[in-house]
Amino acid sequence: MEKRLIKKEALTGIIGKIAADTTVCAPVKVEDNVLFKVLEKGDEPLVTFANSKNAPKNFFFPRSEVMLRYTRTTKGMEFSGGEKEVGEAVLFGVRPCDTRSFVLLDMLFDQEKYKDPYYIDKRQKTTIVSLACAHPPYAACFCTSVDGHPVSSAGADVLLVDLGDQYLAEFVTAKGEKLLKYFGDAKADTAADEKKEAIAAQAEQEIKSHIPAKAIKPILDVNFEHPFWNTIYQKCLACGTCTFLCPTCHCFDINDEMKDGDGRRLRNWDSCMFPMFTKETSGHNPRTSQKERWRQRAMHKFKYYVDNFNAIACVGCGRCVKYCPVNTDIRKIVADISKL
Amino acid sequence: MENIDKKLREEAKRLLEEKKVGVLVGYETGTLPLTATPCFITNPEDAEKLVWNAFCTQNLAKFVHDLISQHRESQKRVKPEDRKKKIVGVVARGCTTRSIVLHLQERQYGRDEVVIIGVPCTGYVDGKRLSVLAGGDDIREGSLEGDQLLVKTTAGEKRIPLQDALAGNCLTCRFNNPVLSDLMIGAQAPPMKPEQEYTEIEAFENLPTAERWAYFTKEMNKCIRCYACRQACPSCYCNTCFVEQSQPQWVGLGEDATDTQVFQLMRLFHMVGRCVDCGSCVSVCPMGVDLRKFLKKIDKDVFELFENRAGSSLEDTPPLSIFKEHDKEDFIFNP
Amino acid sequence: MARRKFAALKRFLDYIGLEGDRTIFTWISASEGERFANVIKGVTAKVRALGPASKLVNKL
Repeated sequence: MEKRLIKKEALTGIIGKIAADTTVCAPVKVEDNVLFKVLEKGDEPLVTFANSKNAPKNFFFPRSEVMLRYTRTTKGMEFSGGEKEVGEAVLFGVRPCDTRSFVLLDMLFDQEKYKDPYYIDKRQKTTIVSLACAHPPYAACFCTSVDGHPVSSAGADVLLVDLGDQYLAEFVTAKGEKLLKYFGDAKADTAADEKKEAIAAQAEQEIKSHIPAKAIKPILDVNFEHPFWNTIYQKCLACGTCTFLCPTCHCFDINDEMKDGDGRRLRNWDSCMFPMFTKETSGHNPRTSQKERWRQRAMHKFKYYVDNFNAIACVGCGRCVKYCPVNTDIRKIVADISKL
Repeated sequence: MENIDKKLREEAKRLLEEKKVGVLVGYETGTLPLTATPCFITNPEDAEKLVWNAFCTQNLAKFVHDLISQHRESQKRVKPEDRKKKIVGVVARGCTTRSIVLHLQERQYGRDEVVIIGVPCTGYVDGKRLSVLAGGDDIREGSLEGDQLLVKTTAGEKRIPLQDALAGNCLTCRFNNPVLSDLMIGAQAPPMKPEQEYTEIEAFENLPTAERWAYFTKEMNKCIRCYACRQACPSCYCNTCFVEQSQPQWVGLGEDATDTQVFQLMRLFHMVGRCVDCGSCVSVCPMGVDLRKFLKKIDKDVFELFENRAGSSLEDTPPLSIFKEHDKEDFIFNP
Repeated sequence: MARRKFAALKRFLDYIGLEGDRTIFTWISASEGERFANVIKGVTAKVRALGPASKLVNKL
C-alpha cells in the first residue's frame, strides 16, 4: 500500500487541483449547515469540520433520480435513458462512518441477485477520500458499537489521518492510487504508522457512547409482538428527518410525472416513517400507526439487514440522534431492547 | 423553575390519580444536553419525570389532536352506548393554548376532552441558534444558571446569555401566558416585546420584488421534503395532505425546485388565520429553512385585514369562515 | 369569504416576490356579458405586459 505524508496547509490546495481535473464533492459550509456538495467556483471545501449534516449517500443514490423518459409519438411511446452520463468523480472528506455506509449500501444495490445500474455506475466511477476522526466529533457518535472505527478505512479508496502536524495519506485501493500524483512524493515512514496507531487507539477511547447493537438481534427475532413497541412511538412526528439524514437508509418510491405527451419515471427517497410508505392502491395500510413504522425501522436496521446481509444497517454516525426533532434516541431504544 | 417543576408534578399526579385525565402530555428531560422532549404519562408515579424549562420547544397541542382523533377512530367500532371519552391533559404555554383554542374553534374536539395545565413562558432555546452560538461544535454538557447558559463543547467552555439563544418567535411573543387554562402553575410571566413582532417583516416588505423572490427560492432550496414542519404543526392536521394525494397529483415528489416551492407555498397559505407563531416548524426543520419570515407575514396580514390573531380568544370565529360588509376590496379588478 | 381569501392570497404572493398582476380577482354576474368581455381584455393586457411566467413553472 502506498503511503504519503503531506503538510497540513497543502490539503486545500490538493483538493483544488483535483477539482480542476474532475468533479469533486466535499463538505462546504452553506449558511449554518455543513453540507456535502459538488464543489463549484467559489466554494471552499472544509478540512476541519465535525461531520456534514446530509449524508454523502446522495451522491450515489440521489434524493430524486430520473430512471427513464418517454414521449408519445404517432408511432407509439418512445423511451430514452434517464440522467445524462455521469463522469468520474472524487468524494472528498467522507468520515469513516459514512464511508462504511457505502459498504453497507453495496450489499443491497450491488448484490448477486440484483444489480442496480444507477447506483453501481456512479459508485464505480467515484473515488472516495476518507478523513479519519482523530477526535470523534459528537457525543452521539457510536460507530464502534456497530463494527465501525473512527480511523477505519473500510469502504475508502484513500484514507487521510491527521497526525497533528501533517496528514498521513494511505492509498487503500488501486482506484485510490490514481490520485497519487496529487499528493507529492513524501513517502510515509514507520514513525507515521506508529503515530497513526496511537491516534486510532486514542480516538477509540474518546467514543463514549456504547450500545448493545449486536446483542439485540436474537431478541428482535422473537419479540415482534412485544408490548415494548407501544412505548417508543408516541412522540414520533412521522417526519423523514432521521431517514433522510441517515447514511444507510435506502428505501425509495418510484413514480411517474407526465405533462402533455411527455413523461419521466422518477426514483425518489421514501421513508418508513411516512404513513404513506406502505399504503396500498386499495386504500388499505398494513402499518396503521407509528408503532408499526417504528418497529420496522428498528427491525430493518438491526434484524432484517442482519438476516439478509449479515451486517447491521447502521454506522453509528449519530445524525438521527442529534437531529430528531423530538429526541427519539436510537441508542436508548437499542439499550431498552437489549433488556427485554 | 424547580418550584414550578414540583407543583407541576403534584398537579399532574393528582389529575391522573383522580382520573380527571387518561393521559398527560408534558415534557421530560432529553438524552442530549440542554434538551427536553415530549412525554406521555398515564401512570401517576411517572409524573415525577415532568419538567418545565427553557428547553421545552414543541407545541404539544399537536399531540392532543393526535391522541383524541386516534381515540375517536378506535371508538368507531364500539357500540355507541359503550363508547368512552378520552380526556387528555396537557402542559401548555401561551402558544400551545392558542393552538388548542384554534382546534376548539375548528370543532376538532370538545372543551371537555382536554384539561389544560397552563404554564408561564419566557421563551425557549432555539437549538440551531444555540449550536451556532456555541461555535458549531458539539455540545457535550450544558446547564442554565440564571440568565446564562453554560455550555461545554469540544472546543472548551462558553457562557452564552439565554436571551441570545431564544427562538425568534419567543422574543416578540404577544401571548407568552396561556389564553385558556383549567389550572395555572406559577406566576404570570413578564411580557416579551410584542411591539417589535413585525419589524423583520416590514423590512422584508420593503425589499425589491427580485430580492424577495431570490430569498424565497434560496430558503426553499434548503428543504429536503422531510415534512417535519408539517408534522410538528398543530394546525396541519388534514387527514391526507395535498402533497400525498395522487388523484390528481397536485405537486411533484422529486427534487424539482418549483415542486418544493409549491408545497411550501400551499402549506404556508393554509396557515391564514391559523398560525399561532409557536415556532415548532422552525425548530424541527433539520435544514434551518426560515419559514417564519413567511408565516409571520400571514399573521400580520390577517391582523391588518381582519383584526384577528389566531387562537387568541375562544369567542372569535376563524377569519376565513366569516366576512364583514366593509372588508377591504381595493384589490378587486375593475377595468 | 372568497374576498377575504383573495385579499390574503394577493398580499402573500406579492410578498414572496411573484408579480401581483398575475392574480386577478373580480365579481361578474352571469348577466354582465359586456363587463365579462372587458375584464378578460383587461386581464390579457396585464398578463401580456408581464410576459410568460417563469416562476413556479415546473419543467419536466
